[in-house]
Amino acid sequence: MRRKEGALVPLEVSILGTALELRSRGVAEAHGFLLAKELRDGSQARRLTAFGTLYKALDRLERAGYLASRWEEPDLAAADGRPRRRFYRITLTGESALAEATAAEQARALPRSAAVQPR
Amino acid sequence: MNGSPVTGLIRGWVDLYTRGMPAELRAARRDEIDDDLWCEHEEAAATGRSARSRDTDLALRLVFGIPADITWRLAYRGRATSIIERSPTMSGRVLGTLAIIGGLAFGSLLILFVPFGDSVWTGRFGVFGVLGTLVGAIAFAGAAAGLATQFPDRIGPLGALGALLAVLGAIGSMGGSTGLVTLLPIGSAMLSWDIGRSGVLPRRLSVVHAAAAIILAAGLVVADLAPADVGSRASFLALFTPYLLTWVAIGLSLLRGVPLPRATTG
Repeated sequence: MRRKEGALVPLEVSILGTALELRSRGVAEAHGFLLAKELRDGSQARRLTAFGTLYKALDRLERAGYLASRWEEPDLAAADGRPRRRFYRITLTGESALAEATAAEQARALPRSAAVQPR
Repeated sequence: MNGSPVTGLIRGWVDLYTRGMPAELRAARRDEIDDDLWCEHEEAAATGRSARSRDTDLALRLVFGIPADITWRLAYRGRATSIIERSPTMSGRVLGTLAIIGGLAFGSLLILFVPFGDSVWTGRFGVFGVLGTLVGAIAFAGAAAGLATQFPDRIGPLGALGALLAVLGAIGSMGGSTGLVTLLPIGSAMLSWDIGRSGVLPRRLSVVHAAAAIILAAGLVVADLAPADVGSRASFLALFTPYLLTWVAIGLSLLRGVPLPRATTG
């Protein structure tokens, strides 16, 4: 089934939420591994999000304008003796989309919680 | 970062599923995964995890992500076709007009052919029938030749050969040569398939045109090309109609816009 254009899947909501959370902790930009690590730690999962799932989600979020990315200077990576790194940051559009998705999720949760309330 | 078998497997998989993509995108995906692998190795070393545990996790991250890798790659292919920049151009307008004129001219003649038969070309007003045939044939020949020459960076051998056959078929239709007339749908099927694949025409339209053309070509091989009764002539019209309508649709598509020339590098 093709999903609605612009609709966020739970992983994408989690990524945006993680990017926002990292920014509030002073980390304005995060690379793929750091995001995956934060997602794992936040959900108490045993392992990191699969490569394909993670980078496909990041690609989609960037194309939707919810994330922006930049490649670091090659000299910095070379100085550290590691591959070059791509950094993502959440955009204003991404923040709005996250707020909408969170509000929609809460609205869906309300009727469910009301249904289980004792009468 | 060492070259463990799992790391090599992951790199090999990235190399495989990004094959055929623009070099910049391939390098971006490869570098991003490389950085991720480097980080995972560093973290494992810092936390004292065993190489076996680390490689098991990496292998699982690879395996569980394969469906997403494949759908990402397939979606990229779709995007690459759909992001072709189109713009109305003078040559596109001319070619589009020719395609529409060809379709309408032959269509009008065939509609008249059902009740009047061969007298459309030989009767009192036969001059209009002959004129209509000439106009339609020249329009089709011009459209086919123009499609082959206006998009040299997008036309392949199949399209070039198809255009040649279509031109011969269109010219043959002026003289009523059965064998040559059949070349028109055969050639235009090949041409439309090729230019649909390269983005000159919307893919669906090129497929529909090719299908209608193949049906018409098959019909022309087996049908009686000089039907005597109205019913047979109506069948003849029914055989031609989808093909001619798709020519009109091709014309409208060309009027709306054609791909801009690809940027050259270096």
